[in-house]
Amino acid sequence: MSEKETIITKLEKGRAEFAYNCVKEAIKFLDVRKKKEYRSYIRKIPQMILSNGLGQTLAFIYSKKEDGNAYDLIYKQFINYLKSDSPARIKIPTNENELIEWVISLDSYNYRYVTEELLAFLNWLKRFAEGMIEEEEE
Amino acid sequence: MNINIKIEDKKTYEFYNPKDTVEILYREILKKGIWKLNIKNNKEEKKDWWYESKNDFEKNINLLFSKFIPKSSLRNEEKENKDKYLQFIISELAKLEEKLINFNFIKERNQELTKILERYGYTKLSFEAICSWRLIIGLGGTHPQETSMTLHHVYGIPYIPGSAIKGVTRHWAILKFADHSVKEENEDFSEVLEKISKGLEKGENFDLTVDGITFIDLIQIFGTQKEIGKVIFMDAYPISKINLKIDIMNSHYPQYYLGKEPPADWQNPVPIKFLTIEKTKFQFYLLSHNRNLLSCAEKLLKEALREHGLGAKTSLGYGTFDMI
Repeated sequence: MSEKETIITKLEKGRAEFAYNCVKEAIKFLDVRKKKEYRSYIRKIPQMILSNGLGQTLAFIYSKKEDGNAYDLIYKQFINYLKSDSPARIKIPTNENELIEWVISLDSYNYRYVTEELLAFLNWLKRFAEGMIEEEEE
Repeated sequence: MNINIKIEDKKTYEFYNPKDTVEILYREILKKGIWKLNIKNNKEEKKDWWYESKNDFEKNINLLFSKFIPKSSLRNEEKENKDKYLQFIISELAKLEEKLINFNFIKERNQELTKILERYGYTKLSFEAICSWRLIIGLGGTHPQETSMTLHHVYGIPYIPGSAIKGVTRHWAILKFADHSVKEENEDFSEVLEKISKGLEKGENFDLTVDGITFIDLIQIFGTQKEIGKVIFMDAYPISKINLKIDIMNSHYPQYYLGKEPPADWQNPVPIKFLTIEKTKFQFYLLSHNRNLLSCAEKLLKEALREHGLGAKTSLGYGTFDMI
């Protein structure tokens, strides 16, 4: 039991650390307006994954991303996360750079794993984004 | 003459689902095109296209609408895709409606449910209302196509969630009481509105009576953080043919609304299509142990439906109902 707990804590700590760095990256590279967009998109994405599925959500992000905007950064961070040591169950091949292509090439079983993994990551990302980026004051 | 209906190649449309699901989807959802021979250069040209599904397989419209969105991968068809896909949803719902005889089973289930509750001492109050024009609920929900609609999770048909019905009734009650007290006390409307809204939330009593409904009645109907409401607002289901229509909103100054430029006529309008329900009859149910509260809630709800409207875009006349 205690061993199982440590695995879970380790995993969650890894995710938390990665998410913290991601939000720090967003604060560093995005301007004020985009930072706020980043915050609101991160809040919106988990809901979208649940109601519309991961593939559709990634397709949506992909269609909205332009060089240097918040969606672009989010998409890149998802890829980086899935390439890092943090995810437990499934990893994206290191030479793969199109997340959406890879996701829709999976079977349902692995697709669900990626969905769960990204939702777990977003959970932390959301917390840090809410805490570290200030809400619009007007 | 010279008109050919062809099943289009898989490559011309995509799904963003896992690989094995996509294989099933390709078998069930077909893309068909009308091709016509152009005599001048003796080449076939595509005149029109649409999505079609096989008849022998019932689909959940909610899943179809939210998760199995086909996307055209041909450049010149991309803009039209949303329109074609919404048409596909409409035709699938119509097929299902025919097969399940207007979803009569839902009506029967609701009647059974209310009968059981009546056995436990609840009084039932039901009425039918028809939306006088169009109705859209859950337009702002998350959806990759950016305009959504609330469909039932299991049945896949449009319905009005009880929470929406209770919400609009409560909102109407607050407006009504605020209006009344402004006329009497000559105060600022928005201040009074806030005071009454907070009062209702916390269960503080104001000594107000409007049209024979006291403020205590309101508190009891809607409940507070500490106490549950004494009237049950049930989901409303359609009881006539469900008319789905494609509607359009058209922002004429997109750059202005993005906060980038002042509004000017040289900006191109961006048409956005969305689904609406048109002239469809709904059955509303209210239940309570207390007959007085029930009739108060009914009065408020009917007024709200007639005067205020349900769902999105009520300021443009969407979502108003006529009682039958």
